[in-house]
Amino acid sequence: MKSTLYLLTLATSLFFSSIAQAEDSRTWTSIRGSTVDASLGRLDGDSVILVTKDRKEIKLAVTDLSLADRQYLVENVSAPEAILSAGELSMPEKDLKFDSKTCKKLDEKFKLSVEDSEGMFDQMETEHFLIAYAGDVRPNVVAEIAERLWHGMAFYHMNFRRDWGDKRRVIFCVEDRETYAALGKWYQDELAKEAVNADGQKRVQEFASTWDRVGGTSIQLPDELCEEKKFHTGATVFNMNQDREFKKVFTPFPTHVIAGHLLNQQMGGVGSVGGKGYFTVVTGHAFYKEIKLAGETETHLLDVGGTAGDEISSKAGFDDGSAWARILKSEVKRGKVKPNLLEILAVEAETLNPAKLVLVYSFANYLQSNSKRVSAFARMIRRVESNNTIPEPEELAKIYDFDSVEKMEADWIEYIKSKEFK
Amino acid sequence: MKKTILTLCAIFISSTAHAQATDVSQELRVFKGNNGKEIKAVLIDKNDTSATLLLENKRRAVVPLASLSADDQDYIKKWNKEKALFLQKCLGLSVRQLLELRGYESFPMTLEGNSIIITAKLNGKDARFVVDTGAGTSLLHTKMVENCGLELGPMTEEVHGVAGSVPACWVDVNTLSMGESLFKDRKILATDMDKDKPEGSKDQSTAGLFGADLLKQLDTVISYKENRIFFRPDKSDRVLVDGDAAKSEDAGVEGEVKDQDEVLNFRIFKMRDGKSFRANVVSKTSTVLTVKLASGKTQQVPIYNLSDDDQKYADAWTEAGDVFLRHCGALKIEEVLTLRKYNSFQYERRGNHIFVDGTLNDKDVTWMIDTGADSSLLDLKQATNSGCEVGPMKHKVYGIGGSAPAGESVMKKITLGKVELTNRRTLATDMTGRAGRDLDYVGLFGADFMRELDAVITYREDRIFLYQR
Repeated sequence: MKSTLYLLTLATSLFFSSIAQAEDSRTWTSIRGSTVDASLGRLDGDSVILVTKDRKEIKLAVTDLSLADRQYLVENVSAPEAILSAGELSMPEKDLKFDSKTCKKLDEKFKLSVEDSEGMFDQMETEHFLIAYAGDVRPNVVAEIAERLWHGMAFYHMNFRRDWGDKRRVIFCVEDRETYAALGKWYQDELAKEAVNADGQKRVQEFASTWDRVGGTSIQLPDELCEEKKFHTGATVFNMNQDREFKKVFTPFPTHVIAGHLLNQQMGGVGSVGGKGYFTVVTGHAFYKEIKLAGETETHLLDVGGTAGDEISSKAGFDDGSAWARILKSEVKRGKVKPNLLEILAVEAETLNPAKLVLVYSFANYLQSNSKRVSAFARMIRRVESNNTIPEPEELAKIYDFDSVEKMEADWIEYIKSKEFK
Repeated sequence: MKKTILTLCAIFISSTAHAQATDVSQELRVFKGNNGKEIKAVLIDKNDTSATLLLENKRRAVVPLASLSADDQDYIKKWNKEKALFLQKCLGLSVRQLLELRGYESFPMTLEGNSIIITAKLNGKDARFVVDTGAGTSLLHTKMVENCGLELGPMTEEVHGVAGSVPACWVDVNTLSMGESLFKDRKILATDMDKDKPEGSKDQSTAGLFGADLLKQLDTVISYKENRIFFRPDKSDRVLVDGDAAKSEDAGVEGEVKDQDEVLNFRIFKMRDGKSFRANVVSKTSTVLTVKLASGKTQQVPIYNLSDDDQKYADAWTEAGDVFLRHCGALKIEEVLTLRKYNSFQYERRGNHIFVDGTLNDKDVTWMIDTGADSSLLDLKQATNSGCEVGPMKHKVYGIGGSAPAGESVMKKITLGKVELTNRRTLATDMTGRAGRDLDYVGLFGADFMRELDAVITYREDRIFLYQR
């Protein structure tokens, strides 16, 4: 019997060596955050054998691989689906062994356009980001937060690394007031060029009225710049005035903003049927990562209303940021807040109040609260990538393996009441 | 020779091991002799009078059929070597391997939104195209025509899209090429595709449409899962331009093209300097490939002279893998994919458009397959007929001809064969256009669903394959 097994093993490896012939090597990620470029050798029980470019074999337990890698195994070599929810839920953003040497300050200044001769920003390049900064800023802190959050996305979402490609996302960190004003002016002009109708003009208005008040936002970089420098079109901007200093890794606010932007980028644009549910999923996710990784929240949401985009209001959760879960638990138990899938997906910035926001947070928390759910969350995001709509409540329930919306709601309520929700 | 036999034998076992990875023992069958003796073995070949068994100790044994029990004889009679090889081929091969081996040239496709973008050479200059199965004829963008030094004819033609009609003109295109695929001296329509685009999207470099006319001619295969598009170059034009022979000579390798089909059995190798030749690898050392050219000649090629992709191919090439691949020549994509649990649909061609039958809310309907539609779209009247409620027409859909009003609708259930999608929000618009009569299909099955279902579309086999995760 022993010899037979040997023969079978040998044979299997031959079989897979032929597969490897055309399969490109890919980056595999371990739960401890290390990565390796290798092609898939074979699946051997609970282990996977990877073959590096120099033909070395690496044997890893399947449960030591990222969720994205496990998904790849399920889809490409018929690995059992059970591996997707096996093992404990990890925190890849914290587990990553970050190498600060990958952050490089560049001599050249960052320029917004070809015509810009001077360049207003210093720049630091990381593997996936470019930090363009001006004034009293610690670019390496933002760089590390961004890279860690990037790693978290690549860990859970199978297409994230592929879709990201070899481009970088630009993150502006601007403390210097003059530079911040100039960046705002530049972007306002860019928007104005595009604004041919009332909607466009309203966008310019909204932008101008909030620029000085926002702590973080996103802008679109010009196509030519992105093409030349290999940047993603969407960029993140931090307005770093005195009361906003990012001193340590997982400072709450940048964690919130970057986490939201990365998820948003992966989900792609909003489809023609509109963005219902996007706010809930993205904002909830951002609060979830902020609180999970930084231990607290310091994020307020700025809403612009009014016909001319001139009414600005600031929204946040319950005042006591450390007691969100406790307050929500008691409100749910007393029946004052009723979690409802249809309503939670319909939440929008305009109608937000503290109770709703905390409910959105609890929902995001619930959606990623254990291995099985986080795998369903990845499934949902993957669907959004192509469908450009957040699934209807019935579909969401199906993705989470419930046969009805009510059952999923009941499970979510149970979660809120449980000790797991903190 | 000895090595080859060993490899073959090992490969065969590998297939069974892989096919039944969860239960290897199933493959080791207990054969019973007439004398009552039992042996555990795997059947690897047969003829009219004997069976070849691979024993547990790795040895092969040729056993006369008559010496086996009636049960075993029956088993051997029903066993089909092709089928066994079949499983092994199908489970291991990617669409890419299968097609490249057959002379298809593959290109990575970039998705922008859900649109497949490829960069072709229009008159030798880079030009972006959206791959659009829903476009009956290809279309150039006027700006792109000018950039490529071509002339626009008078705007006397009209092209029709989802939102109406726009003026268009003919352009005499000297060459349109992608890799080895080349169209020469073609008339292609052009229109201003920037016109009527939604706010904020005009700054993206506008692309032309690589439509069904060209896709069909190139036997195109689109694979969303692999993010690749495959063309089987139509060589008829090329002979007029620069025969393969000339190209091969440039590459430092002599060759002469003999038969079209035979040529397509060779792999296209690309050199660092951009030249290419067709050949198969015979053997290799760490630095040199020995190849057999289409002409039958054998030649040695330094690996470092090959393109990055071909260097990777050379690096990964093994004799065992090669033998394996050679056994798969006759396989159809359909066979590969259906065994991989893809749902396969024969599609119907009407003109250049492709249609598949299915249901919407349990009513029989036909869908047009449209990679150019970022989101699936219903025809207003057909949507209502199929029990979809359509909301107020406050949305817009954009396409050739500008924008058209559309209403939101939820499709409760869509099926194509066993593939089922439920509760999908979409838009419905009046798609009857200038026809003035009801559509005979329900709407566009767009790129949103095809991406979700890892669709593979093959123009040669007239099939679409969908995989439900």
